[in-house]
Amino acid sequence: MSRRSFGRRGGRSKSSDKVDLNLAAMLDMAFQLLTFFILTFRPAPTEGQLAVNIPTASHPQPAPVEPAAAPPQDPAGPVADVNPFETLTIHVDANEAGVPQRVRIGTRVVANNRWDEAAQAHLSRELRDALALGAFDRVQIIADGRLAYSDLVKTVEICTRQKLSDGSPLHKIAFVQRDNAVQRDELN
Amino acid sequence: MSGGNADSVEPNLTPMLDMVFQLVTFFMLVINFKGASMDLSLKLPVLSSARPVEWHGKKEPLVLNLKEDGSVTAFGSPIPDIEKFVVRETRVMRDYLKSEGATNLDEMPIPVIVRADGRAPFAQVNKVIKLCQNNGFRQFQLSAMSAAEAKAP
Repeated sequence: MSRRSFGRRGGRSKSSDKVDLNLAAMLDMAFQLLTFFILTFRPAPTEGQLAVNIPTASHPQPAPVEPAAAPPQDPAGPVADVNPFETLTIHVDANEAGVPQRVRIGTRVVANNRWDEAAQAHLSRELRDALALGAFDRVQIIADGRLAYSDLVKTVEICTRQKLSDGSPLHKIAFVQRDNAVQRDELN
Repeated sequence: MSGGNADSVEPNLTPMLDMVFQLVTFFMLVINFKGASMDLSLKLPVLSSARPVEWHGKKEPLVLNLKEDGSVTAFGSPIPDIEKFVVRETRVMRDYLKSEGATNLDEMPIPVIVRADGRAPFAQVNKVIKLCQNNGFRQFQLSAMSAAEAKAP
């Protein structure tokens, strides 16, 4: 810096040395940033998730028709299918509208022609009793392809609320799509 | 009549700048880039036990949006061939995980978030889940609205 400039600086009064920042440019940029954030702002609703571990299904093909499944079961009937995979099967048959028509745990019918809160509570109780046997560590939901996703997750929710016999939560839930023709034969 | 420069009125821009910066800060804090991967037109099912899952420090999940008619969208774009899309995404994720030193990638340590419309048929959802399973995914998050959120206006 030259001596002259020092001299000039020292010679001026305080008010004349005041440096005015040009805020207009900064304000322009801030407004542009603000416009960007306002335009890209999309408040997403807080949504939840059901965490499930979905192993590959033990029955890759549609499940075979179980002879004992067609008529409503007598109370003394078997509570659940025990298979070598330690998998408890839940069958969900749906109507044309995708609403569950009949729900079975193994061969035991737990909901027939209704899918209200009482039927869901009944399924929950039956599931709890079946899992208390200690023979299962996973559930396989064999569902009609027409079943609405909302009713599927309702069933999954009931499953994820259950505890296994060792106290750990049930997280292993597999899905199998059921052949509609098989279901029609069963319902008839 | 007053003369030019001496009488010019300059507004004090400092308070306005302060306010604008505060607004910018607010929008920066609430901006949600994850929202771009969500199709907000879907009518998710309502479940009482659905809880938000936090992903801090974890790998970003694969988010698939499934409409009522079975069509799939991801990051706002329709996916015409879901099989190709999942294979490609899996390959990218595997390469990334390998570069980070992961060895056993038969089972992907990354979850898939399935955001399906409540009216979508199970057959379509199952098709997507099976595709992901065939590519090594085992952990799934089924999205739903919590009951409290669904009641909110």
